[in-house]
Amino acid sequence: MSVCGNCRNNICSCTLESGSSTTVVGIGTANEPFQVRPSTPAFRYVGSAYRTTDLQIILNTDTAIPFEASDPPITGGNMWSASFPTRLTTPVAGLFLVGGYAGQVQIGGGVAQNINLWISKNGVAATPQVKTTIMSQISDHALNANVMTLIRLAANDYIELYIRSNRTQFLVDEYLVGSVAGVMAHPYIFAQWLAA
Amino acid sequence: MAKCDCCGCVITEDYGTSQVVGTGSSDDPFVVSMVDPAWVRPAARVRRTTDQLISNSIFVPISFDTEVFDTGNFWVIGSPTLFTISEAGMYAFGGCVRWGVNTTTTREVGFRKNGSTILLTNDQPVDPTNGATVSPWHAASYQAPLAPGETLELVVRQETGGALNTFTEADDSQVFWIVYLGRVI
Repeated sequence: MSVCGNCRNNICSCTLESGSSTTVVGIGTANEPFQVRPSTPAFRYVGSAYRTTDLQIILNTDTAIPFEASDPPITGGNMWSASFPTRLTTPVAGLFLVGGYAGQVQIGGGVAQNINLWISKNGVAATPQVKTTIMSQISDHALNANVMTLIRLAANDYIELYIRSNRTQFLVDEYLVGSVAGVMAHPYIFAQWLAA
Repeated sequence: MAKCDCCGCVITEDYGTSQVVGTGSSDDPFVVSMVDPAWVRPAARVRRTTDQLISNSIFVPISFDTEVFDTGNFWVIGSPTLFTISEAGMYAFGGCVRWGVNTTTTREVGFRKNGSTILLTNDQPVDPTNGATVSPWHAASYQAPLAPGETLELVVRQETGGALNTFTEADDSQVFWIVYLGRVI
């Protein structure tokens, strides 16, 4: 409970009961009044990670993308660590909005190239929670994909962003591109806790 | 917004999860508490466990048969294509299907409100070479304000000239989800 200190012996004694859905900021003065804001559960336990260097992937292979850095979490619950670079690990059980993005440069004019991008949990690549396929259009254009879904996770579950490409040639040139500023975004993964 | 008349304490609006009583005076100070400590964020995820045949050139709603979770009474088996809204606010929603193999035109996944208004479609072109062998997954997601009684459907469309299946998969095809984000203020 917060009490309006400067006014306590004057006129009012505003009292603000703490609640798990609200946050009180300020000290109750005229210059810094109490403000009650929603500490919405949507803003707890947010985790994300990205990479900024290219990554060579092997054709026709399910590849969990290793990330290189995390965005600072808004509140507690660091989900990513360099020790497990492919993972976002949940600190608590609950309902999570999860998703990610990755793109692959075209090769060979993009003819017959396709990628699959998906989110799986606990290392089970063969059971995605959401998945999308992007096919080339026989043109010189990169393949970009993003996914998002809503899933329940237990504490210490982890999610990973997988990619699979069908190219059988030009593997040296087959990259996830994060460093081509203005052309393709960084490979990225996120998880946001929404409810218990 | 309420304001204390002595020192300027300000009670701002929130997303409907807390309530403020009192006038901010010494006799009747502000007291902030949760509207409902047992409140659970409304959310649902449903899926279809058999393939569905999609007719040519019309938006077809996916008809679901299995509830994965539903904390907001969005879905009932009697209206298998619908999420029905009971609380006004902003919602995030999404879906995913896997299409059968076909070499022509595009596939579309989108969301339809109240049986008539297409909120979004996500096109996925198919080229002849890939389309001959690839059974593609197709996901989409969106956000929108919705009112009580309004409905949402996950709709798909294809224009191959004939019917085409969407496939059932363990967790990632013929899936539809929704979550309440908060009151629109």
